Amino acid sequence: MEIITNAMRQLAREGLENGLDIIIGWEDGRFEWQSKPAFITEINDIESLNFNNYSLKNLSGYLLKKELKDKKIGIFLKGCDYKAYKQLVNYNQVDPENIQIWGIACPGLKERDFHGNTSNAERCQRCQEPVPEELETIIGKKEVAIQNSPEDKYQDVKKLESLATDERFDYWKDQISDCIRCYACRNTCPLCECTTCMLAGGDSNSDDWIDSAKEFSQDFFFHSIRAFHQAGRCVDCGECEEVCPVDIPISKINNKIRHDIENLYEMPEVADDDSVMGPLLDFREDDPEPGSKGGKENA
Amino acid sequence: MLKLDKNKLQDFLKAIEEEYQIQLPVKKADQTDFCNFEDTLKPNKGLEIDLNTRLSVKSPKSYLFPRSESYLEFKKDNERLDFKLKELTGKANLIFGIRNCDQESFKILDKVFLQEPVDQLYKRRRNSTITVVARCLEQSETCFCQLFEIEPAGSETGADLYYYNYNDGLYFTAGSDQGELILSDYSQYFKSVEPEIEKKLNQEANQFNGKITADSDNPLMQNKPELLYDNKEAIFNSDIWQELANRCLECGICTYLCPTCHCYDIQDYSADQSGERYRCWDSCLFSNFTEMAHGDNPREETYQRLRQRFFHKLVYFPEEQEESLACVGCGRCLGSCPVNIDITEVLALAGGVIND
Repeated sequence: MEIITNAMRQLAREGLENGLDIIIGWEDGRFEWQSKPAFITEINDIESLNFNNYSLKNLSGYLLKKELKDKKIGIFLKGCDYKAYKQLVNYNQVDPENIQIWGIACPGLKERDFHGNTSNAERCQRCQEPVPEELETIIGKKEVAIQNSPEDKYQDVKKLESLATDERFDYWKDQISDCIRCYACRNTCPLCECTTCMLAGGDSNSDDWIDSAKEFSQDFFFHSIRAFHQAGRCVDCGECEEVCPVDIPISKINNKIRHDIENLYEMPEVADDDSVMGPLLDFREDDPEPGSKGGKENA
Repeated sequence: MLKLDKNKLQDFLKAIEEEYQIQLPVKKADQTDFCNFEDTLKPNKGLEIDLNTRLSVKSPKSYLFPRSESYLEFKKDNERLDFKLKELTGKANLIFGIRNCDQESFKILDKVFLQEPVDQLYKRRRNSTITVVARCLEQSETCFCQLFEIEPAGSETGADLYYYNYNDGLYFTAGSDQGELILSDYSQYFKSVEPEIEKKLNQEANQFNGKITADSDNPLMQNKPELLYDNKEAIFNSDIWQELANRCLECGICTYLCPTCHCYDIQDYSADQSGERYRCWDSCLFSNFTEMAHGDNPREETYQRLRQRFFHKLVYFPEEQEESLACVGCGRCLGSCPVNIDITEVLALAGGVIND
């Protein structure tokens, strides 16, 4: 961590000296188990940059902030953050010309639950690409052990798939009923890039597709539609699940879709560049339709 | 003081369940939150009563001021429009095991909703709610209730019942006539308490209540909460709001978990010929919170909305409510904000503005 922190400060200093307007990194929070995004514009503030065991926050989403438009930005991205960044570039949401990226070989981070127990972050346990290999500058030790095999990362999804439909519905009903609709999952998602969400929070509530009332049907609709909108784009950075104050296992929804995309449609979970049509844009007559009656189960 | 053996707790709760709908802290997976007592009796739910965890994920304000509450039904019948107010049915709520910070937050909500014009939806719930406070004899690292002059170990009155959670028992005292009534109506569950134990517990409580104000080391208690009130203009116009806004996600976590945030919206759920009117929580961090019908928004920018939240708690509320500050120091914002924005950080930054 110290190696990463020192390199981070060094690069940030050079960046500001060479004309960048703002550096986005992490600094320590109030407690040892916290870390928060840092926005550095002055060389004097560089020492506050710190990468610690809890620097999970995916910073790429901040590139969408309207205040940062047209600014020259330097940003630190871990493996998962970089994957999200590439999607933003694919969808023309950010201008790479204005952005200097420094990669972080992520050693795997920790998370702390409500009761104060710490463990290896779930997102890190599923991660396959902790090091953003494509980048020119990467800080930290590049040899990082992968915690789970590509298939093992779907063990949670497979456990749920093995349940009967009723049991599965009961499971999700129980989980999603806890939703307080704070929209933190959507707001923190680097790939929820719409400036106005059609589901909720539009210019006027009457334009919203979901009702503000706290009803299971509305909560369920919110979470399922959001997951579909991320199909083929979600990079499983785990931000949504991380921020959820009531611990809804949102990643399981996204990962179910990722798993299906790969298995049923033989597409990459995430399209790496814009030459590959995403699952929501591509249609083939022989597409399997396991959800509909009489639909083909497999390709 | 009367003792209820912990191994009799479930029997006692089952007995009072005849009269009350009981809500209490329950451990579910990795969290602890308030839940219906009935649900803890269902074996397949995996819920376990948890009287040890200091704070619940969400504040219990939702029992007085629900996340959403439908209160009016309307129906069109030819040229006639019929309205029907929804009655509150069912037993009174008994909230068991809330902490004194949350109990004090009810006083703040009372100021908002029970002053003229009285909010009838709130009043009817408030009048049918009994609270049982668990006295704190220790604090978590995120606690700062004493900054707001709240006594964590509780006082004599305010809640209906108070208890100490000590060794194998819960040691009760009444804080209201209603509380006295519960202790006498269900006296078969309670035992008398040896005077030494009563003295010891009261002493500990007194010590703890006075302790943290004198504790200058607690990093959360370094700045007086009156800072914003006393230096409104300088702090209102300072850069700290933009600094915080840079990382704010504009989600509703802080407002929805906060025990004193009380802003709401009124909406209709309508079908062709009929519908329901409900009110639901709203958050000043949402960009459409102050969006006007004609399209203007007086708080267009994130920093304005963030500033509003803290100014409401520490400036506008005391201006209107006899200097009462609208924070109880429960620390939920400290633990739950994904980007670590909390009221003690705001005070620290504001302190920096004043000292500069």
